[in-house]
Amino acid sequence: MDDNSSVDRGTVGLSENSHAMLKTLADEHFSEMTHGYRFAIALALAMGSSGHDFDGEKRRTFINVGTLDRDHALKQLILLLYDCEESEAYGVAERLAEWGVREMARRDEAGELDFASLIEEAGTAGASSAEVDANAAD
Amino acid sequence: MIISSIHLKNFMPYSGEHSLNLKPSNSSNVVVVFGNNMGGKTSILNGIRWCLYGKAYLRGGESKPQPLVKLLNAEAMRAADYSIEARVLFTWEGSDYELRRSATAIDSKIAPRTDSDFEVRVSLLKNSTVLGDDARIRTLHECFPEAISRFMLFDGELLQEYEELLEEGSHQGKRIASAIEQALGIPALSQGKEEAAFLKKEFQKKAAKDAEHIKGLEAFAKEARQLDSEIDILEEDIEELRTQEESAKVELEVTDTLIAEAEREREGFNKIQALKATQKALVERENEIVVERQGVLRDAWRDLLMPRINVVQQQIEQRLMQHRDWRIAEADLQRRRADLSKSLNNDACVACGQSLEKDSKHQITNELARLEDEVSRLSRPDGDEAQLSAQVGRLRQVQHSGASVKLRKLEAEQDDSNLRLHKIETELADLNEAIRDFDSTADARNRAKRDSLLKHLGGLRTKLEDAEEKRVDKQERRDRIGQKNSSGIPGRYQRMQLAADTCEHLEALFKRSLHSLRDALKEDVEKIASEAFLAMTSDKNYTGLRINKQYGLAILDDRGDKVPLRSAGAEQVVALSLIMALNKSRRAGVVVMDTPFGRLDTVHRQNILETLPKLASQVVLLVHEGELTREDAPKYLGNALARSYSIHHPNPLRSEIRPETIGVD
Repeated sequence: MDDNSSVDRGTVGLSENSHAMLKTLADEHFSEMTHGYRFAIALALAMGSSGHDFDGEKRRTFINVGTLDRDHALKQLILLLYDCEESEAYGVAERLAEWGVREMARRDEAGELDFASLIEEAGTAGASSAEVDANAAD
Repeated sequence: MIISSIHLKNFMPYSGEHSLNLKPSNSSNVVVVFGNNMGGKTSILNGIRWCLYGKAYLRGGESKPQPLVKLLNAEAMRAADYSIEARVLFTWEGSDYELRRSATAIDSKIAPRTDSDFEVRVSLLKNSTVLGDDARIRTLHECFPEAISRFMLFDGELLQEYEELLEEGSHQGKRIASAIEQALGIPALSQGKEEAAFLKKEFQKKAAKDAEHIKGLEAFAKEARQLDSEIDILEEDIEELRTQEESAKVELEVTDTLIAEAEREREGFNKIQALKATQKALVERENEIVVERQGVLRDAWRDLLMPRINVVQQQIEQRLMQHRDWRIAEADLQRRRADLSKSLNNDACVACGQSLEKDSKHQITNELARLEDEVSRLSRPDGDEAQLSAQVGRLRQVQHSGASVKLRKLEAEQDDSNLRLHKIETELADLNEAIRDFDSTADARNRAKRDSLLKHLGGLRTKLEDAEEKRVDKQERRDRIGQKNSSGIPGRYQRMQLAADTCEHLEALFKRSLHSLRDALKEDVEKIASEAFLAMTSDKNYTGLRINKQYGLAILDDRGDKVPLRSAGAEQVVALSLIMALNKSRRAGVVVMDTPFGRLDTVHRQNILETLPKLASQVVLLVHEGELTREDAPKYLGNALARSYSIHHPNPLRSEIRPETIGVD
């Protein structure tokens, strides 16, 4: 799946490695992998990651966007917070998910995956990254 | 009697051979062994006890003697060395003795499981010569009578045994009192009394036999013979009844112990049920926590974005504000421009309707030009206002779920639950181990047996009292007819009768002496114990101790009244005072004390340590550093400290005894 595609897509994907990582994470923390995938996107957005580190990754279809983002709330937030074209929103989501899953897996492996701390940490990182965005916009 | 040394091999935590030199030198008669809890102090006490009496106990009062397999060191067991040995070397009345007890697996290739898998050997050497079984048993009974071992092998954790003495009439108290009397030498007098009574009867029988051949005494002889025969039968009955009573009492005591153990095990069952219910509830709650946590994490992605959403929302709201400001400013300019244009076109002021002067027209034209310029410079803010409003609307819909706080709360609850579950698992393992041998059928059988034994004992007591009464009546009658027919008849008969009378006087004398000795000894014990108590206690309100029938000691206050309630520490000082008094009242011997200061404060500890060397000819203290530090031992014991040892515990399966450098050696 080409994550740079400008066509509004019907599915989102994940690399083989990240899929395995997400499965492990879901087994331990989430009731469904989809919840973990959504959390991963939000984590990357909150931490100010572009997700471009994984541009070249080969991905396989993970889930239908209708299931992932029934009310398009996620898409709208990506558009607002990431500042991309509407047609690119789920491509961006895919890249962000890749980053977010790997970040969670990295912390999990180090025994440092503490979701409450992650949310608090994301608050600080997110606020400063938004300020940078705002300054840049000025 | 002095214990020179103790040697243990594969005994409890002591893997391989370990020795303690306990020999006193000059005025140094105290040996201190330091060891942590669970390190092996009580095992040293048990080593001596097992060597002397073939019994070792776990802590906890009425525990059963431990099976041999529990005495075998676990490390030795793993190495397939199935042999235990304990040796006690001692000197007594100028001779050297070596007592050795060993237990070795009958089949050296198979790990023993029960006592029957071991062969136990006991030997006693006197000056290197092996004594026969009878001599061994007699010697040990004289040197270390088991009945009074509690006053020689003192376990600070078992003070309740001494406290039982205060309960007059309690069976256990009577047994301990009897042991105390044995320690004080009272049995010598009571035996004298019994022997005098026996001799009296023998002489009376001989006199009666002689009387058969003396004219005029035939009737007396017949009646005496009849009474002697009846008394003999009654005494045999009494003896038999006493034997039965003693045996029933022992059986009752064993049954009571088994019932008490079963009761504890039954309580263990109840506790296990309660713990399992708590465990189940905790596990269920843990499962709920997992589900609740998953629910929180499902929505937590919004919480992650809230800070950025807030910032972006503020930015958009600012832009919307700019749009509103622009609209207001533009409308104002347009209105003013329209008014001025209208005034110029109508040649009259829009506000007042007056005609415009030439100057005014010029001013309005200029103002209109300025406004035109201002309108042209007023730039519209970027973005579509409707779109921005829609974006803000969408952002406002994203709600914070409070995930971080909820997660922290759930994680704290889970941590607490994990901790509680871990504790419960440990407690359950201990309880399961404790109730492993519980047999409800055996318990029911024991309870029925106790009821039956109590009934049986009641019956025996009635029979005994009845037989005793009859015997006393008959004996009194026999004594009366003997005395009545003793005078004026010469020869052997009279001599026998006189001898019987003498024995009767002797019996009475022994009886009175026994009472006097008992009273005197009690007075002595009370006096010495009081002195020791006052030397050891730090409470100036106490004035001494008062002894009761069972050698129980009550504390007296400054008005000479008994102190009704006493602290655990005071109990300990009283028990030590009793031990000191008993050791001083009889020939002083050895006292081995395990954890003697556990309940005591520093002042009492110091007082006792300064008094201890006078307690017995030899004192061995098994202490942990919480009771007595290595620094304090020489400070308080001074030259009395002969030497010291420490118990090291390199791994859970073994302990080692190592000599220390403190002490006079």
